[in-house]
Amino acid sequence: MSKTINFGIDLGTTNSLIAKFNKGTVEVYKNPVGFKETLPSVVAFRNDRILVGERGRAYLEKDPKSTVGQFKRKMGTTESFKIKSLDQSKTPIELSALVLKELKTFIHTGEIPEAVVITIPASFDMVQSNATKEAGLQAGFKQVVLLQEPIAASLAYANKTTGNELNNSQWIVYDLGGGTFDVALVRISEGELKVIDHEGDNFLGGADFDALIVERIVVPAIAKKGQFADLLDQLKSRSGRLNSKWYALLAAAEEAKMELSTKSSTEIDVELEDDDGETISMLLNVTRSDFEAVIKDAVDATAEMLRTILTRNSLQPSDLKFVLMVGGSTYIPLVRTRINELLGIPVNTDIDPTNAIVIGSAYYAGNKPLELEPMKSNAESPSHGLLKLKVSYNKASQEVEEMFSVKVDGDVNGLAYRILREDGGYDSGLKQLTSRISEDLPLLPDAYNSFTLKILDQHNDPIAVESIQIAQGKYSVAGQMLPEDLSLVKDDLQDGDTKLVQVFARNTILPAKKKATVDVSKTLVHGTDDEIRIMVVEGSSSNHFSSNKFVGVLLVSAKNLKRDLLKGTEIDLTFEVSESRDVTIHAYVNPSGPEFSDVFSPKDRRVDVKSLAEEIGMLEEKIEQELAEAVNNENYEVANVLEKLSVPVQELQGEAVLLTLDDVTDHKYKLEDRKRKIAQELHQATSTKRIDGLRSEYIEARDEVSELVKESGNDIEKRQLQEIINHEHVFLTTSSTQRLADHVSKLRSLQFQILTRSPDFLIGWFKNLTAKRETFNDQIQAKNLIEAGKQHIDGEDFDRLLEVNRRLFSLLPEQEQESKDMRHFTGIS
Amino acid sequence: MDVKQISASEQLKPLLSALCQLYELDRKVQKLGELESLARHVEKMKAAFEELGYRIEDPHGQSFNETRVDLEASIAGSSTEDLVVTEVIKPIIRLVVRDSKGEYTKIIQRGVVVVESRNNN
Repeated sequence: MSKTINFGIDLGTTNSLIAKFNKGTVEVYKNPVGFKETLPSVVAFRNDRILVGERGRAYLEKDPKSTVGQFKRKMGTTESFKIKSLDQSKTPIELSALVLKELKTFIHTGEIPEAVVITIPASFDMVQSNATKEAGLQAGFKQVVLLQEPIAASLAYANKTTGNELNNSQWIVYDLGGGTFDVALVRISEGELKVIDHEGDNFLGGADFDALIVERIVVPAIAKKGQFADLLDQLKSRSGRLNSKWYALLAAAEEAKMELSTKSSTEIDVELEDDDGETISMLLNVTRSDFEAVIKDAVDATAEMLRTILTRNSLQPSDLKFVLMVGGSTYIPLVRTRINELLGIPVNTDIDPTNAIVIGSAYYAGNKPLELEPMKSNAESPSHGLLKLKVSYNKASQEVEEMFSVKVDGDVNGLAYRILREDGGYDSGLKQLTSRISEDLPLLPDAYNSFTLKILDQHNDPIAVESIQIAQGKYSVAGQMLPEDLSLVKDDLQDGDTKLVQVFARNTILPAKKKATVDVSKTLVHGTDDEIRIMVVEGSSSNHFSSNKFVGVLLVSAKNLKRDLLKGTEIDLTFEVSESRDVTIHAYVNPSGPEFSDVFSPKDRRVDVKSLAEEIGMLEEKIEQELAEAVNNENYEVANVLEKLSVPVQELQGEAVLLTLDDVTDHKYKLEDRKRKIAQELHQATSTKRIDGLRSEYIEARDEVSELVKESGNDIEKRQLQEIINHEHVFLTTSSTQRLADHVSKLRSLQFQILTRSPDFLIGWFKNLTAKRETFNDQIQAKNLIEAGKQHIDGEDFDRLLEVNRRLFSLLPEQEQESKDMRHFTGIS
Repeated sequence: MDVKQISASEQLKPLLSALCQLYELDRKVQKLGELESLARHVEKMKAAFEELGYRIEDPHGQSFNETRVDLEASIAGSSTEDLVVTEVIKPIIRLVVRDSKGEYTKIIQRGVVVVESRNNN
């Protein structure tokens, strides 16, 4: 089978698009910058850069001497555009070639097409058609096939719908785009598709409708609200006081117009100052009928052109199969209804009006054989041999811009370059390559900035690519990065211990700020001595907090509360670390209102004597537990280490109780250091045990849940399980107990979720709960619930049984465990 | 996940719309100063979206030139030199991506703005 062209381009007056036919389907490519399918057909020449598309369009009105749009209208004429910034002229062919080259950058697969189908208006004559072809050749295509736009739209329709007998029929293609209007009569006769007649208006489109909304609806409404001598002039005049508002209003009008295609009314938010300096702020309601009233004349004018075609071809509306709607403005309901109403021809809206032409061109290209015979072109194709690039730039920077320069060895004649930042925020535009180039690259703050330098041949095809990496705010000054994790200590109610939640990871660039919300895990009675501790520690967040270095604790004291702070209340926390590593903790207690904040700096290290004594107590308890367990398991090596630790911890305990709460000596710091070292040793001695335990727990949970999901899981649950399993190679090899525990917890939640759909489980759970009936907090409610539960079991109403179980569960008292103090060490969870 | 796909996704439109509304809300709350309690909710919403990886960037007051592709700009006034963003119709929205290359951001919505020359003022 011979190869086909496959690529199609809609080279429009206002916008252009590119698409590819591939195995029966068409993909319309998107601009890698901004991800839109459309590329405005505008070229700007600014500061030795060539800007094609939207950036060019931004300068169209304000720098018209160096920016060109609508050049398609001049195709095939001897007219050329004088470009002030270049001090030379550009022909419509050259400008179109630039648009075509830019469209090639949309092809994300890296494929370089050699042939293309380009669409042209039905009105294009031979010279204009040949000029379009030449533009294609200049853009590097070796084969260019032209296709009339109405035919392309008709092909898009024919390929989208099946079972539509179009043979020996005729229809109208009605194309109302952003700035131009075209209408064509298309006929299919003996399998041949032909444009019979056409009409058009080069200055009518959606942009005119936006302006009508502003001028006829928005401006009169604003004028009524304030003092304005000449509001419209102030808005529209480039030297007008309100010129910036004109563009803001046009954008709002465009949005409103789109909304009115599906809704009967919308609102436009207006805010500006009147001549007296008063702020006019209003939410203007715009209905679809308001909008229709202002565009009706323009729409009627298009119908008139259509009627002209009918008259000229001696046709009756009934002779036409339909009016095929193309162009973004045909989304407007009035356009569709009015054409149908005025002409009595059925309106066909089966195809996507914004990309129908390019889709049709790609279908055509998918059937057009590739014939790559050498074709004549004015474009030269010099051979550039091997280029050598020597790049120089700072890989780390504190500046907002960094100078990047390249020395090029080799033939640079006819070559261009372009630099893009990978986040999609910077594009140097196309620039001519010389033996030395330099560019100021704008950098994103506190980030690794990746750029790509491409050296392009005269067809915009890359011949060399270089990647550039610049770290902004990253290295350079010593002490800019956080040396250890900073973590928040929280109560781990399940295990009766504390856990660390990482706030800032090691190597975070300073200054840094982060927010977190925690729950109060015990009720604080106002006016008492009770308190909550927002404690920040420094060190590995995968370790136990006692082995971390204490940074600071912010105490939320019940004395400062106006009312009780109930368990479960949220506290909003903000953590900030300055460049000099001062840690600020800010707590906002909702709904009681008070705010607490404190700054902890390394040079002013604080150790809270009360916390220290408690921590040492907890540490001692922990060592004893671990020692007993190790002896029990005959793990004498670990037991030996732990035994050695119990002596110094007891000494510490003795010394800590002797400290006064307001001790001013440095003794508490020394004790804190010693405590930390003991905790680190404890952590090290027992880490293998904890990790091993959690790994087995994970594997057991995974096997159980896998079995359950296989039997009774739905698609979502299957995906959730698969996601956990897919990542297990990462967390099973980690030294973080927290991550392992989190995954076990995820598996158990999934298991519970599935089990709650199982009647056997629900009945078992219910029986288990009823066995604890004496312990329920509210006996009357519990009795009623148990009765209801029994009835639900008899009636096999398991949804309601689940509800009963949940409510019974909530009546159970909190599990009071031995280490109550430890569970509420911080008071947050 | 492919950022191009994410950005092109129709499903993302409601999310982007919510983020734009949040930006508007933030702007209005800031302007009305006294609504401090409201500002906290806005801040929390922003923080929640940040947790999800969506970052709203307000380009107001930033310089603009032809190399910026994170903004769709309309130029007001007569000069095209020394431009600064004076009106923000839509903010820039970035998605924080974490993968083997590390953490970086991608623009998933370009800002829609009006820019003016500083010389106009």
